[in-house]
Amino acid sequence: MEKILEIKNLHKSFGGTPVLTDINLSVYEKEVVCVIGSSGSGKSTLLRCLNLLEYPDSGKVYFAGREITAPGVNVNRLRTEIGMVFQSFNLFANKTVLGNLTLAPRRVLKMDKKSAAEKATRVLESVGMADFAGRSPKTLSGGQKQRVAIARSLVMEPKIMLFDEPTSALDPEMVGEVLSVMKGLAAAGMTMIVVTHEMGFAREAASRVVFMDEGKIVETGPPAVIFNNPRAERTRQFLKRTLPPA
Amino acid sequence: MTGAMPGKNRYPNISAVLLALAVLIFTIKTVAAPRSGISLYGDLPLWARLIPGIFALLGAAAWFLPSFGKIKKYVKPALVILLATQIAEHVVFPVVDTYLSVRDLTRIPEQGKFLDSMVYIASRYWPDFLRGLSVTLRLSLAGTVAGLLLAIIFVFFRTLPVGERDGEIAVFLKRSGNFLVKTYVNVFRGTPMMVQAVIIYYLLPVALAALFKVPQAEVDKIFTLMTAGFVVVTLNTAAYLTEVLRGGIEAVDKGQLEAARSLGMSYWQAMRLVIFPQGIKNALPAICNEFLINIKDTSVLNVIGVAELFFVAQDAKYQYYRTYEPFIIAAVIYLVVTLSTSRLIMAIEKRMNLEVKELPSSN
Amino acid sequence: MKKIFAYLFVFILAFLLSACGGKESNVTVKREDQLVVGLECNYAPFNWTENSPSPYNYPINNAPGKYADGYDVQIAKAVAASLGKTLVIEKLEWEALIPSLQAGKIDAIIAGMSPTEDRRESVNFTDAYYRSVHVVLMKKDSDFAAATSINDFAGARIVGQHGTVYDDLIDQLPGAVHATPLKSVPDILTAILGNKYDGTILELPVAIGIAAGNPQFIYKELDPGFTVSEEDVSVAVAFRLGEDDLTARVNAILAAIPVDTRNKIMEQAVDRSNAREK
Repeated sequence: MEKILEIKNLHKSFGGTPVLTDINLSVYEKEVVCVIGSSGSGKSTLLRCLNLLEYPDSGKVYFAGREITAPGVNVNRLRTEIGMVFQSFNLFANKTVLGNLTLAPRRVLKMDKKSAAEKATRVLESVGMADFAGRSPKTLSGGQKQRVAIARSLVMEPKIMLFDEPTSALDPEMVGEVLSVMKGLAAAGMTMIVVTHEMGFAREAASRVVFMDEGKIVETGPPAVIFNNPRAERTRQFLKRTLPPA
Repeated sequence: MTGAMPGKNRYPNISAVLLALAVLIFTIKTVAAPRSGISLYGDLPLWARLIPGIFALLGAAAWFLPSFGKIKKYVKPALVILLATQIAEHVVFPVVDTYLSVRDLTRIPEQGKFLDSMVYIASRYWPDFLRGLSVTLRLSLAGTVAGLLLAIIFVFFRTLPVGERDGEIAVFLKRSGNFLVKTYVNVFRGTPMMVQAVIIYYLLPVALAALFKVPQAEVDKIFTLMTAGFVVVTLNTAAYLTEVLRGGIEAVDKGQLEAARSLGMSYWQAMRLVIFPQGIKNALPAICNEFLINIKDTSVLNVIGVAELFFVAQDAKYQYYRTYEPFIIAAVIYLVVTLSTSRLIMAIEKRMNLEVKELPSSN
Repeated sequence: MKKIFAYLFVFILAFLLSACGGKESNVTVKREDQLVVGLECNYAPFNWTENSPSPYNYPINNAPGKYADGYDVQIAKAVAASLGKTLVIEKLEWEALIPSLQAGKIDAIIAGMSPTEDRRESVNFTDAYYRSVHVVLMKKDSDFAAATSINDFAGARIVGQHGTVYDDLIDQLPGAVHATPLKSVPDILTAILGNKYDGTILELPVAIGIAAGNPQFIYKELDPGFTVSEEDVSVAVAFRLGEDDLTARVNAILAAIPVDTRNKIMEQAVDRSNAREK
């Protein structure tokens, strides 16, 4: 498989406080990488460094063979290939559901109105939200909003999708519908990096699990290893605290 | 309406009680001092004049006695009708009477007869008052709109992000732009509009003529009173609205911008398509409020001679040698205009289903 | 959203176009051929406003549909005609007259203005075009109604108009209380009727007009009366500082109007002022 993402010696501090220390990670096509760890471990920051919402202080990130941390990179074009789904959905409040999906294809990819609408409708169907095309985001439930958010990123046909705690803001009843969409994506072969607390999802759908603590990657491995037989002591402690007794 | 809790008939409806009270007070006046001139009640015998008051008492009692429950539905509308007739009797008809008595006079009534003088002045000077009102409204509306357009341009400079990767020249230009707009806002918010009017009307044409080496007369032809008034209102409004818009834009959740950028939109696309529309929508109540304020504040333009409503009232003062009456007329006109405009704005806002967000007031 | 902006933009354009030039300048004559004169149009019988044209009055340029009449207007017409220029009358507030003259918005002030020393620091004055007497205006039933000389006002509260000679003259009434000046004559009249003050000082023609319209007022010419300098009792035309040629030419024009004619014009102005509907 192709290596799609490579992170080398990445460091990031916020105002003197180190948040990420010497991160090294490679992600391959069609992989589903779940990043777990306690709050403040730097998971979200790492994710945001990948589509340059945050800028690394030092280190290099390679995406599809190109170094994206080099000066002079067209960040906007890059971001059309990297999709991001946020914890708080961030749907555009001044647009309808369909408008949310067609905005970027029309303005950034220069698609015409009709094709953009058709494509958007197809993607909405795939997440089960086709009936809500004309609705305003504030009339949707959390789970519905997140599914629309996922569709909004999908319609740009990204090579990789980043998920920043996609279900942490949802009521428990709605977590399932979002996770099932994500599982469907994984099964369809989308490369995904998911920062999450949903250990069940990680266990089922991840091809690799990364455990982070205090800004460093402590351990990586297949879910079976990480969850049942972690090597590092800190991983063990974290899992003991967060997983219900088996 | 406030009041009746389900199942409990004991608590009176506040508005109904007030209505009944008003009817009662008017009835007392009708009985104690029946009016001459055009009158509904004055010609009736005493017992007839007492009827509205008695009805009001009965109606108010209805709220305290559960057995009258069924009548409640009819009492309030009936009270409203009664009150309307009494207002006609004690407020409207006196004015009509006064009008009929002053209609054929050639001299204004004596100083001290306020109602007569006011009706006299209003009946003769109303075209001028209307003209003054037209100037006031035109200046406020055009000035507010132009100020808004200017503010949209200015807020652009106030919300420029200084990125980590900007070159030195870009940073310098951005910081200067921001500083210039901030200074402009401080100057125009920190000085009274009256002072601004005088300086702009007298000094600006002289400065412009010197700057562009154009003869003063040419500048004066363009820089008329209306133009000067329009410029003052516009610049003043733009200063306030810049900050209002900035508040509206900064009130938009940061996640909106992040999501837009994550989809590949440039900063300006994101601002233009997602952030600004929401920011302006947030700021709409404050913008409409600024319009209302401008209607009142254009009165300060009278010091440079703009023929708006207050100036016209002053003219009436000089012409009729009455100090209070013209200004009471003007105040009533201002009140009617601001109240109805305010209602109109609220109705429009309701239709647009706006959420109310706390924003800096422009007072 | 975009449509709304478009409409607003068009609206502003329409407003601007209607406001600029257009209705405000009714004169089509070249600026050099105009004599723009500023006056209050609210100071009978020197100058006042009327709503319909008459053989005596003249249209007010910045108040369409209004006409100015009065002693000052008659003088203005004569001066403009003699100078061979078209008269343009601009109605301004008293305090705006000198600033507007200095800024070039008007060319002359003919507004019953006295040529005092401190005003001479800002403007050129011609010779007097009218001399008047100062009187005291009071309520008919005032405590001081029987006064005949300046010495009869001990303890009286006298108020004057801000920025005028009338205010300065109060100090010549021994024992009188010099009240804070008010902004305009109607304000003064209302205050006197309200018993806040006992009287004010005005020029005779103005007092005649007020007493004719308000029977509650009387006026008294005092003997011994005010000690006034020539400049205090006269009114003159004001031009910009340094316009000495113009001043001299107008002086010649004014010299050609003898005192008898001046008094007659003033009497007629007073009559017209009293006759109009107020």
